[in-house]
Amino acid sequence: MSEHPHDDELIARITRALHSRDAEQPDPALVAARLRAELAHPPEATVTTLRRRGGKLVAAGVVTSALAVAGAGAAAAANPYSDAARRFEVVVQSVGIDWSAMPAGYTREQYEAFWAAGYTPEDVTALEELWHTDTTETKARAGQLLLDGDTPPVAPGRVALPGQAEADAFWSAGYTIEDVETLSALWQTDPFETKARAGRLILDGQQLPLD
Amino acid sequence: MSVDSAAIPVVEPALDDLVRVHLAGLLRYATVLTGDGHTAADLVQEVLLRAHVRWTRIALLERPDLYLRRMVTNEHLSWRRRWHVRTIRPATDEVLAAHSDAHGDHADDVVHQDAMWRRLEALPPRQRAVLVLRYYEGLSDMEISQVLGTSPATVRSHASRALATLRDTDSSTRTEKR
Repeated sequence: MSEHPHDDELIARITRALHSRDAEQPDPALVAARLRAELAHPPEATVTTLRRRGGKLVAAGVVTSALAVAGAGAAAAANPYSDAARRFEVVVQSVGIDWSAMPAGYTREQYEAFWAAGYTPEDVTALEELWHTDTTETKARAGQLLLDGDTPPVAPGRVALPGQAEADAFWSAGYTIEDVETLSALWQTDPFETKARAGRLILDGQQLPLD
Repeated sequence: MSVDSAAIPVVEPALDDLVRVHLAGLLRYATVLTGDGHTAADLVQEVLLRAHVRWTRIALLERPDLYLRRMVTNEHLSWRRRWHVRTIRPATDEVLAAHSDAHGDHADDVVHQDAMWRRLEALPPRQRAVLVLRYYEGLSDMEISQVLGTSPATVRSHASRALATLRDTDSSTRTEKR
């Protein structure tokens, strides 16, 4: 697949650089929990702190080797949102060590409270602009407000993207990605613009130019 | 095949199917595509919420895995445009922290990987997506063309241009060429 005499080495380095990022992969169990919470409370999510899986992990069963603990700590630091990181925190905290894999100033409780409340990335952006904070600080502050029983100034899921209503109308009408392709080719638009335009037609009660 | 899309119910088996078979792989792909675990989680969540509703139809496709990657890729490309501010993020510290036991050659590797990653981030989004799909996901150009909704020739063109850019911005490779 090499396209240049020196590409093999370049491609090897590209591959290594790409793989260096997969340690940041979020925990599938956490995302699955968020999905289920979203489906369980679609219009107005309530604040429910996600269960701490592995909470009953026995410290003696894990702290058997300093090397194993050091390795687990490195793994937890590599991906603070993983299930392993969460278990590691529980273990070290159970033996009196105040340590967390989460970024400074952002606790796991804040993280879970924030996402469990049904906030969306668009809400994060709105709060960032309101508070002039970065993404981590925004989620930490909003998560803490929720934990304290207060209400952040932006309600979950209330920030609509430009064209979101149209896109929702498009998907709700049962159209597929193939329909997006067909319309994009017809209108010479990219997928995002296609969905917005098609959704607007649907909302206006018009037919889409599809067979 | 006639499917009444308006009447497709939200069923748990669909979600279980998606989560069990596809979630981990999609999260890995989205993480490398976006370079950020938070964004990947948000993006995949949004895509799967949509896919879940239409899963009875998607599951009938020959390659639902490619279809889901297509949804993730399209969503990423749309988000990128809407989130102009997301082009620079303090990833370096996190990456270095993730390798806090690094020293010597390993530390050099991390620095080089980080430098290459920044060059990858600077590529046009579609070119970068092609490299991720080719060299991380290991897909053929035909499969990548299905994910991106384009032709294999266009995929090769994107890859060729991306590699040319990386070659030009890569001082060590430039030295080798002389």
